[in-house]
Amino acid sequence: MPHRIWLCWLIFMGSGCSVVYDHRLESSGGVLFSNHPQEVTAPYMNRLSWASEGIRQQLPLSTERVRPVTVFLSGTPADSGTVIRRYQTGFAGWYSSLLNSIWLSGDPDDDGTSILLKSESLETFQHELAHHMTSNIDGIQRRWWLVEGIACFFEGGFDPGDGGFSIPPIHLKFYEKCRRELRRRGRQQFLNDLEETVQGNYRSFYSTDSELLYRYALSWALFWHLAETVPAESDLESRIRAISKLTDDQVLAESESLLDRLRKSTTERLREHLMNPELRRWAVDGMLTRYRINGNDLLEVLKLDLEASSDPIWAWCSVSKLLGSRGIRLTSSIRQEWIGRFNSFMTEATPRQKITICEAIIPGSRSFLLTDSIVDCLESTDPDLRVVAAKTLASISRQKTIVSPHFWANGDPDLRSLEVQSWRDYLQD
Amino acid sequence: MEIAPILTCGSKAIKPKSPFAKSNLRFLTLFLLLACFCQVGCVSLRSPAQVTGENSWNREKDVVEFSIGLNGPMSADEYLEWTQQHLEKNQLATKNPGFPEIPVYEVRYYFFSRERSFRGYLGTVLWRRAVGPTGNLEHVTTIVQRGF
Repeated sequence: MPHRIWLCWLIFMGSGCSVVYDHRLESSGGVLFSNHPQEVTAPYMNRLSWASEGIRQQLPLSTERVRPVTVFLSGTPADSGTVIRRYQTGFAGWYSSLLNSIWLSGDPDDDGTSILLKSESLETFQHELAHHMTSNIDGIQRRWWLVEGIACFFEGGFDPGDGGFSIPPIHLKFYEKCRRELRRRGRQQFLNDLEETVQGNYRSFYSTDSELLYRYALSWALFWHLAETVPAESDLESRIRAISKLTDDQVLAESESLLDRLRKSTTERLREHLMNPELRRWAVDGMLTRYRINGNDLLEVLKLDLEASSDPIWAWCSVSKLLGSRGIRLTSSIRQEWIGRFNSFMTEATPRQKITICEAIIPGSRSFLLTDSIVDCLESTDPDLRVVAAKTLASISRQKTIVSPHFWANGDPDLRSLEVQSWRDYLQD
Repeated sequence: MEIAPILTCGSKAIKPKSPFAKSNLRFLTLFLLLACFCQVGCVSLRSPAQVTGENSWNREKDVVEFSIGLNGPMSADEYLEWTQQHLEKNQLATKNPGFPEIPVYEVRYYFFSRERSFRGYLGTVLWRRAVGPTGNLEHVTTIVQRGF
């Protein structure tokens, strides 16, 4: 009987998925089935190849026998005219080692854009992919804190700017969560929670209560701490193997020293790495999510990146975010100086670069300072740039505009000129 | 007391023989009557939601938003049907209330309840013009926050 089930499953995987799903996409990391359009599937295909290869390089022995994974990108495609019930889960993802597959589902948001396009959804995908890539490590099976701790550790993997795969010094979300809960619950309760997490069975660990994210954060923190302190060889793979051999008591014996490592604030941790060329981008991206940050220092770091890197787009996207962020303090002379630099870069940038920058601009009135350059994009010969620029202007200005993509891509040029002129008049007033 | 056959199959009456079957039939009769009553009762109790207020503005030159006040939630189909009728009645596919010279690209309906029993946001229906110069307004999504 089990053979028949497996045979049915194999037949379904071989042909059935293509019947159920419209698209079947293949990469070195695996196969992706989806009903979503190419703009949604493309980031997942890129992440599948890049993260699989990155984790493979970090764990060459453990990933040797790992087979390509099957990914199901499910959920309601945007513009499909369907009903979304907000009281039901909008996004979900899980991995099955038995079926060798990752399943992700996402509905459109209030603007009709798929939730799958949000960076958090791609991080979840990387988390599930990490489960797959690390599923063959001996000693982690059924130790749920370790299974999740390792996946959370690789979930934070980022591109330092050269296309590679680097692990950040801390996972911002989980580090912050641990520090917050430690402050709120106190030292003793935090230690008790660590013990419960390490000793928890499948049911108690994955119980869908309000503490699930906290248990993930505790698992990450323990693994992160042990990966630094376990006496082993220098490479990550040897350290993971050494951790997997520790008993629960040995793991919990390190709890006290973990609390000491959680003392530094997230901002302090990020600031330590601003001058490190390999971690600079990660540190700046992290700083841009903080509040009451001195932006003058960050602009100096971005200046270094612009001098050192052949691709200036990441730095200019960061400049645009920095100028548009409410949580970052800047002296007005420096702000004006960088608005000038931004505008002069935008006059030389290619349409593709301008599209990337327009998409990175933070919605809100602070970004209004960048309006001049974006209005210029409305006159570009590239229709895609005109469409993106109009959408960006609508998100940063109270001035009403036309957002129809059809109008900006193929509309009457005279009518488009009229609309651009109305923007120019508005800016002059 | 003899129980009259209540279930018939074509012209043939099925007459229960054992006392156990008779008591079961009695229960079944009551159950069916109760089910019928509940169904009729619920339908008569659930009168369609009434519109208590309407407000509109242009979020962008070609994006029109409507805030619709209701005295209770509706089903997803009812929200869609109501907006479709509203679009047709106001000819939004061809007429832009705020900027008559610019065709409408997107229409958003936000439904709210201001009744004592429940106050707050109920749902959104989003309509957008399809790609192409002669494209019609097409339903994109219905987001239901509360309802049935």
